Amino acid sequence: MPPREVVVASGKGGTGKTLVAAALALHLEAIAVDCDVEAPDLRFLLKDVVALIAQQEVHESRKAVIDAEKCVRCLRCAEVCRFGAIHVDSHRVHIDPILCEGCGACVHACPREAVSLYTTRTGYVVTAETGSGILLVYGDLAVGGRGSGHLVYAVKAEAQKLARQREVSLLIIDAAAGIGCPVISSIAGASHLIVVVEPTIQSLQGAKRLLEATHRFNLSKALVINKVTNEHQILLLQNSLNLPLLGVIPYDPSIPSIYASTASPFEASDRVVKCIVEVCNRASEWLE
Amino acid sequence: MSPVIAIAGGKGGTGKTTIAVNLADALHRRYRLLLVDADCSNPCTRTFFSAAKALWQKEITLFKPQILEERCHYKACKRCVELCPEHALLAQPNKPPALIEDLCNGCSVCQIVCNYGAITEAQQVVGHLYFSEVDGNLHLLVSELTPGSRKNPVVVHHCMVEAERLSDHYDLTLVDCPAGTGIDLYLILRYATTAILVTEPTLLALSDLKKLSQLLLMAGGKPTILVVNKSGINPNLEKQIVSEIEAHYVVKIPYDHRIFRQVSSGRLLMHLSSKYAQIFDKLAEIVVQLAHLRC
Repeated sequence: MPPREVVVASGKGGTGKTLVAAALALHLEAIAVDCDVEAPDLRFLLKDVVALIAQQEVHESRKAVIDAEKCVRCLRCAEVCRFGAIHVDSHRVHIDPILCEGCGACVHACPREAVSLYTTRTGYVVTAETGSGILLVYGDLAVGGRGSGHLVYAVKAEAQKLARQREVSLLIIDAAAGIGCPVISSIAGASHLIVVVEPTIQSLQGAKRLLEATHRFNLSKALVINKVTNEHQILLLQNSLNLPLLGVIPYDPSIPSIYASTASPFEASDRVVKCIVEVCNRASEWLE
Repeated sequence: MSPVIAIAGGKGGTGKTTIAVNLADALHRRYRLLLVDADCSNPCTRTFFSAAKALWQKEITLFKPQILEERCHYKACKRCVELCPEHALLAQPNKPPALIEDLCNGCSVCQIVCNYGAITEAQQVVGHLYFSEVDGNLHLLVSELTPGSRKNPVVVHHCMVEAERLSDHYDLTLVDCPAGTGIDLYLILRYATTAILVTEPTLLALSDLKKLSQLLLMAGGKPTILVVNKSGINPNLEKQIVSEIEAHYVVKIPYDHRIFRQVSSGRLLMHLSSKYAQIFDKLAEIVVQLAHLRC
């Protein structure tokens, strides 16, 4: 059986995904997988990277370029581009590399074979040992880059390979903020989704949008509520989202302050640690 | 285009939206302001302006193929399947190819390469833009990604094109950015005349902020205001952030658990204490100065 993929996501940023993912990976002795490729931070909660096992460059991104000598300015390319990446001035036809999605529509449309695609670096997939002893696979997207979804797939494939080699049966995947391309790609193929919410209207909206974005996937879903200040909030969020509750973590200033150095979630205050352990134990039961 | 102030952070949840809405509130007393919510995954500015009057909305659509069975030579030809860059078309025995909608990126390569004119254009709705009026001096342009779509860069791009089109009616445009350091941010920062980087004194936020600073350079470098939120929780790290990140101004917002409560129900910070009204007036002053607006 292939290792199971459990994704931690939230819709809104900063609700505590990375905290929950790190705690679960440590407690369940899983492989930690950071699919927040634009802002990969999971390593900081696993006592940072201490030894690199492998680093692989991913080149999945393509951009189109025009050979000005072959171009006859017929503008077929600009007509077919769906992303508004091609424009013309009085001298020549330009392709905007920021807008170009590398689909190749212009290449196929050009009657003079004046357009070609070149490949650019999407980012890195890094496999490492962390100071916590847990193995980590993370993606690091090129700054300003496209192709976050492709990089997420490469990260997950590498994590699956590592899990088979090391005979680990569980991957804990930390997803990006939001519900866009990297998040959908993190969740595609997973069996379980843990939604981390905080008692704010912004987080509730994000969680609802996340559930809407993922309803077509065949997933078991559960809820962790973070930053709780009173009991009333728990009921409200549970009723609004209608998911089984794995646990509740109180609002506590000791949580952001442990992030000043590389600390594990189990170094927060005692009352927080007690709650995190409970979340992990319930998650363990839920996953069986 | 009027000056564009991008409010970004790298890491999620550092306080971008809090800064955006409170700064908008401080500025709109004296200036005509367009507040743009480019965080199409989870646009939250509207939770602070629930009484805003809706003016218009637009769909953002992309191509998707519709295959005409009577024209498709599926027994002999698989050009569309082979050339689709996202592998979104699946060859089937005795039937035209099937579309995996989840993977289709709307590029129309399949239609261009089909030799039999068997592919016509249908549409996928990837997002919406909503335009509303908070009051005479403050308008809100909100982008929203259709849940399930992966085309967030397309939605962000359309949002910024619309913002540019509208911007002549305003003295200033403020853009609340999504988290991250990828293409969505690049598509916004290229329009920005000033960047406000919102961070918190944690290793996680610093790491993402460094990536974002690199992107800011790629986008041409901009006058930058660093806002340190939750200031005071880790003084040494805070010093390190302020010295490592290049910024023209630094503004600090003290750690205060009441801010979380205030924001969580969509209330502005000036109603919490005059201390916050002062902080945002100061930030507004810096923004005005950098934008060369008349005071």
